[in-house]
Amino acid sequence: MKKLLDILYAPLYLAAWIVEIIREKDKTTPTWLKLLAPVLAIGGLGIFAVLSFIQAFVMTAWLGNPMPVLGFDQSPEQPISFPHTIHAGVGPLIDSNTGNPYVSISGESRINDDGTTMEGLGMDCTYCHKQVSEEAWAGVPPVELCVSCHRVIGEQSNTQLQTLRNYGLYEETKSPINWERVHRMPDHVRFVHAPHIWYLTENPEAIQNKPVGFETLSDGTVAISQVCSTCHGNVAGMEQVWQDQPLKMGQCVACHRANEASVGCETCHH
Amino acid sequence: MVAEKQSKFKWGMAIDIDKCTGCQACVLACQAENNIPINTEDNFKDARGIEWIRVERYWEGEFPDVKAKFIPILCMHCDNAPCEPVCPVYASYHTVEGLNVQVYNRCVGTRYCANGCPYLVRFFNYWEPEWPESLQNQLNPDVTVRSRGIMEKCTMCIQRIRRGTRKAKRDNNEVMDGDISPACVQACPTEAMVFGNQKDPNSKINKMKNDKRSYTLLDHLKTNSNVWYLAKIDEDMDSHHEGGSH
Repeated sequence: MKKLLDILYAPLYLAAWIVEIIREKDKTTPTWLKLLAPVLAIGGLGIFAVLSFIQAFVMTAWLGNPMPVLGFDQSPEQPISFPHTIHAGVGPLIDSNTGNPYVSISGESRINDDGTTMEGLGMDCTYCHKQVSEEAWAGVPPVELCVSCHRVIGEQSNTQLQTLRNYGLYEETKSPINWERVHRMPDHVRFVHAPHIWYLTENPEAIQNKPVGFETLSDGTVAISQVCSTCHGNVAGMEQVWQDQPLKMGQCVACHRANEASVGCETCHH
Repeated sequence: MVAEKQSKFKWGMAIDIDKCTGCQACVLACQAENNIPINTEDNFKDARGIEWIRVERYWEGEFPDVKAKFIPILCMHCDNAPCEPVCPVYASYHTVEGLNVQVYNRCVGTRYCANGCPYLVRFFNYWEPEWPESLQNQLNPDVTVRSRGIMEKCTMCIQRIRRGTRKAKRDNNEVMDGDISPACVQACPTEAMVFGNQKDPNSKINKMKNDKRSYTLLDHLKTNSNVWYLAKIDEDMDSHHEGGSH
């Protein structure tokens, strides 16, 4: 390792050596050698910067979400900028971090024409992600579900909605919406949504990152849409969905241990 | 072993050789269920074919009085598995439900386990598995696609076991005998294969493993196999032996 660093920092050593020569025989040193010293020194610093950057990337990826570079963006751009704020948000669409109304991807503030803040529709997560309580995957709805409302709802001038309606006319596009995946598990992990939903709805004390307006029903259970934030964060406050939790194996195991679930390897790796 | 007592399941399989017709439906079902890469003839010539379950064929007698005998061989899920202690990274792992499973993400591909297995039911991925474009969407989403350089083996369709147990737990039901079946058992047209919980005293598997015809493969190695075979009933052979004894 030391040798490797020596090689990488060779320009710095060389520069230092040249500076030493220049100090000793300032008058006899040729001009090209005088100029070479700063060039090598800057080159060495550049290599140092690159190495630090790689180190920072590896360390952030190790400890949590990686730095959003080289395609590791936690919030990828979607073909249609579906705002979870309007659909899933409850009450006025105000960002609790800044205190201002949310701003859409295209830069419009969520304010009505009369100056009041828009209100979220408060749709249940399972209206679109239907399979989440029955299957391994939550499921992205078919475009027909979007169009079932948006055939009539929304301004005609909205280009995003117009694209969506075109998707709905299958004859025109011949393809479903090519959503970018946000939460991607490695292929050796088999995460099944259903049992987690079943457990968390019946055991609300295990829910983490509780959403705004969290409430327990009279029989001690909670609605399905109240448990998602444990792993997905406050999706109702995301204009463009990002991965909130690092979703490392350590998190899975810690939660499984705390709730006395199985921690055998075969539980998830098969 | 302490943990094993806590689980209410101990899975096992019994195969009635007398019913096996050697139709290979189990092999095909396994291939489809578990995302096993397509084996070409060259793979088998190089001894690189991957079949979690295979039907071995034995010829007996001289032509024209020949008989074909078949025996399906799959992982025995030994209680005393020779593949487990040799793994340097604990990738070959015994679950509390009595299954021997391979933890793919731990495996570093030493192949010690395959060398240790007397039943030759562990397979190494020498190549990155590939499927033609038309078969990409038939891959089972419940099963990992194993990449190059790791071992794989029969899991007794653990994805089906987990699906069955969690459905039963949700409905507050007990897992009934026959609720869960691996792909090979489900596909067997003669119902020669039976899968079940050995801790359930009334299960079909318990009756079959206590049958007088039952035996386990390579019993003298004391692997404590969890797959029982029921010997073939061959009247010709019996009469032949009787004839010889006179």
